[in-house]
Amino acid sequence: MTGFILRRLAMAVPVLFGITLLVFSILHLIPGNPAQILLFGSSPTPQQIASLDKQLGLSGSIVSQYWNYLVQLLHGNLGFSYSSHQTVAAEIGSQLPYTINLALGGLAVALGVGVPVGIVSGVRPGGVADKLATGVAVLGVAIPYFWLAILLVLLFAVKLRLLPALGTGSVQALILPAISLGWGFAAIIARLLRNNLIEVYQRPYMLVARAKGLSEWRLLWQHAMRNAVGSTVTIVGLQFGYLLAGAVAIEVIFGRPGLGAFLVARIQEKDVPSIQGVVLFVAVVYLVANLLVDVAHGLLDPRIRRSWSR
Amino acid sequence: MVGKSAMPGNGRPAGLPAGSPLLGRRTFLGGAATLGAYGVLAGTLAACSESSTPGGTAGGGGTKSLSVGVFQNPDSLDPGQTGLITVSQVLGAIFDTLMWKFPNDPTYYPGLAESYTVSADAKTYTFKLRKGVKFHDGTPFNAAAVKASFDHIVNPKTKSLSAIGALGPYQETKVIDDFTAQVVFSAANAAFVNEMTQPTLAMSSPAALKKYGTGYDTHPVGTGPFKFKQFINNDRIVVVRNPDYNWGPKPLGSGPAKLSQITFRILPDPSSQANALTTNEIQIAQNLNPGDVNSAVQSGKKKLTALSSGMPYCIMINAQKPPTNELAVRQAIEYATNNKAIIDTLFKGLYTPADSVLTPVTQGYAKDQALYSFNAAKAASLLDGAGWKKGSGAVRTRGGQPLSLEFINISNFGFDGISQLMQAQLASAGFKVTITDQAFPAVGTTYNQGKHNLADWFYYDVDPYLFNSVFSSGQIKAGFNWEHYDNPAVDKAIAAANQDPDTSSRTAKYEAIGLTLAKSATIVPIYNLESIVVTQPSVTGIKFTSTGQPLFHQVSA
Repeated sequence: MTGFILRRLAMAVPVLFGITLLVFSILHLIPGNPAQILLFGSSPTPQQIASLDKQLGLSGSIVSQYWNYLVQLLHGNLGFSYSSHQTVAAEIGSQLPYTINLALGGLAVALGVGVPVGIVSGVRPGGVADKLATGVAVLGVAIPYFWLAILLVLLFAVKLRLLPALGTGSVQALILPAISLGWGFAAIIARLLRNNLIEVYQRPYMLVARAKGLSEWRLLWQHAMRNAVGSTVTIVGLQFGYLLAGAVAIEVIFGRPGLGAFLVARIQEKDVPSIQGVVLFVAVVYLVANLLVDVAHGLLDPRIRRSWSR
Repeated sequence: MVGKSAMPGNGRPAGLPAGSPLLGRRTFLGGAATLGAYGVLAGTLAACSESSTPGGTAGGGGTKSLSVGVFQNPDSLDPGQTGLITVSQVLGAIFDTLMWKFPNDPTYYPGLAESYTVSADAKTYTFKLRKGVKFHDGTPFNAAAVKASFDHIVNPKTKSLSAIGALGPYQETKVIDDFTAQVVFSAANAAFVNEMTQPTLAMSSPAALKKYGTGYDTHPVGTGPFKFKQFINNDRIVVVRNPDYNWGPKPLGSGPAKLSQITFRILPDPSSQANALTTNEIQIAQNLNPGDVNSAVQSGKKKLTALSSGMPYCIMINAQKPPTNELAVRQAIEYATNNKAIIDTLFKGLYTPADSVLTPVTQGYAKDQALYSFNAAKAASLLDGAGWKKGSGAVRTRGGQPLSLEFINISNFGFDGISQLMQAQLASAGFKVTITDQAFPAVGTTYNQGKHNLADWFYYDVDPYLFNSVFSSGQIKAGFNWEHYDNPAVDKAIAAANQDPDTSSRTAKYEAIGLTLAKSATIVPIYNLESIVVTQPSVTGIKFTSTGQPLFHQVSA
C-alpha cells in the first residue's frame, strides 16, 4: 500500500511539472505587457516599465523567468496579486474555507441523496421507488444547478422566508447552496449506482449467494455494493475536484466568497499571479483527488490491491 | 495612476448590466439577459410576499445595526491606496477629511480643519486644525498627521491608484505648529479645494501607518464615526460606532453615529442584492437591476438617487481620424443619437439623459452647453451639406467613399448595449458603424493610437479639472484624451482655470471651456452618473458624497 502511494506520488511529479509549465505560460499567452497594463494612464517612462518588469519577475529570458517562477513556487511563494497587494497564497487561504465548506456541503447532499436513491432503485428496478427516483434523477441532471439555485432562493428565501437568501453568516445559510450544488451530482451518483447494482445482481455469484440463503441485507452490503461502487467512487473523486473550483455561479448567486468567484473576478482584472495561483492549486487538488480515488479502489477491491504489489 | 479622483472606469451607477473589468464584477452568469430575466421573476414574487421581518439587530435606541450591499470587493481599505469608487462609502464611515462638501451645496464645511486659506497662486493651502480629535487607536490628530497622511499617498510603496491623482502636484506638508498645516504644491492646484473633500484624501493615524506598513490596507485607522472591525475578503466589512465622535461636519450632525454597527455585504450579483433586500438580510441595496429597482419601489421600499460629479457615460468622437475629423460629421452623430431612447430601452428610463460634457452637479456645468438633442432632419442636412449623400443604398457616400465609422467598444464596461443601439440609430442616419470589442485596460492603448472613430468612457471626479485628463493635448498619446482633441486655446484655458483660486471666476472659466467642447462636438453624452440606492422603509438619514456614495453618519434603521 505504502509502496503504491509512493509510486503514485512519484508519478505525480512530472504531471505537476507540466502543470507549472502551462500555468507559467498563461502570463505569456495573455496579450499586453502586464507592467504596461498596471501603469496604464500614468504615462510611464521606459525605465518605470523596466523596473516594474523586474519587480514582477518578467525580465531576462523566458527560461530564466520560468526557473525563477519554479524556485519561488518551491518556497511556497505564489507571488503577489496585482489587484489587492496581498500575497496570492494569503488570498487563496482566505477563500479556501468557504470553498471547502461549500464543497463538503455539496458532497454531503450528493452522497446523502444519491446513494440511497441509487440503492433503492438498483435493488428493485422498475418498482415505484425506482420510477420516482429515476424521474428525480433525470430532473437533477437536466436542471442546470444555477437555475435550481435561483428557484430555491425564490421559493425558500424570498417566498417562504424559511432560509436566508445569502450564503454566509450561519449554518442555515449553507443549506440552499449545498442543495443547489449537490443535487445534480446526487442524480449522477444515483443513476450510476443503480445501473451498476442492476448489473451486479445479474451475476452468477449473486445467485449462488442468494441460494446459500443470505439475507437481502447481507447480499446487498457484502456482495453487491463492493462490486458496484467502483465507478461511483471514481466519479465522486472527480466531482469533488470540480466542486472545489466549479461553484462560481453558486457563489455569485448566494453572495458567497470562494475560489470560483475569486478566479472569475481575477480573470476579469487580468490579475495573472492570482490566476496562476488558483489554477495551480486546483490542478494539485485534482491530482490529490485522483490519488485518493485510486487508494479507495484498492481498499474496496482486493484484486486491485494485489496488482499494486506486482 | 489615472488622472484625478476615483479611478475612471471603476465605478458603476446602479443597475448597470455590465461590470468594469478592472474593478467591477457583475457578469458571471452570461450578462444582463440572464440576470435581467431573473430579476423580473424575483420582483414579481417579491411583490406578492411582502411580509416584513424586523430590521437589523434590534435593540434599544441607538443600538441598531444594519447591512449594506456593495457590489465590489475592496482592493484596499487604505484611502491612499484604493482605486475603487465603492470603497469610498466604507472610507466615509471610518475616516474624516479636512473639509467637507456635499452635492448641490456650494459650501465647504469644516471637518478636521476648522478653516483654510489658499495662496493667490493656488499653490499653498494653509489649514487651521481642530483640537481634541483622536484617531481610533488613541493617537491625537494634529498637523503631523496631515503630513503623514499626504506623504503616505505619494510614497511609491503605497502604489496609490486614486488618491495620488486627486492630490495633484504635491510637494510637501509643512508643520507650522501642532494645529497649523501648510500643504504646498509644485504647481498651481485650484482643484485641490474640491479634491481635499474626497474620502481618498482622508486622514489616517500616523501611528497605524507606521505600525501596519503595507498591511494598513486591511487595518485602516481613522477619526470617523465608525471604527474598522473586520474585513473578510469577498464576504463582508464590519465597522462599529465610535462613541467619541463629535467632529463631524454640520450637515452630517456632528455627533456620534446613530447605528451601533454597519456590515457591508459584498454582493457582486445585483439579483442576490435584490433578494437579500426582500428577505431583509440587507437593509440598503445598491447597483440593482432596473427591473428590481422598480419592483422594490412598488413593494414599498424607498428609492434614493444622487447624481455624481464628473463626466457622464458618453461616446467620445475622434476628432482626427476621418470621417469624424469633420465637424459636420461629428455634429451629425450628436443629432442622430437618441440617448433618451437608449436609456428607456436599456435601463427602463431609470437614469437621466446627459446633455453636456459634465454632469449637472459638476462645477462648470451650464445649461448652454446642451447644444444637441435628437433631430434626424438636422443630422441629414448636416451630412448633405458636407457632401455625404444618400444614394441607392442605406449608407451615405462621398466620392465613392462610404460614410463608415469604427466603433471600438470597451467590452463588459456598461457600454455593450449602448454601442449596439447607437449603431442602429446611426445606421438610420446613413452611417455604417462597425463595432469591435476590446477589454479594458488594453483598449486604452488602441484608443491612444487613434484607431477608432467612436470610443466609450465615463469619469468620476469632484472637480472639472478632469478636463485636463480628457481634453488637453498632452493626454492624447498616453492619457484619456481619446477624442484626440488638440486645441491649444483649450489647453491654455484649462491650465488658467486651475491657477484661479477664486471659486466663481474659476467656475465661469470651466463653463466657457465646456461650451467650446460642446460646440466642437467632442463627445456624445448618453446618461448621467447617478447612484440609485434602495432601502427598507425604516431607513432614514442617508446623505451622499459628491460622487454619489452614501454616508452613514446620521442613518438610523
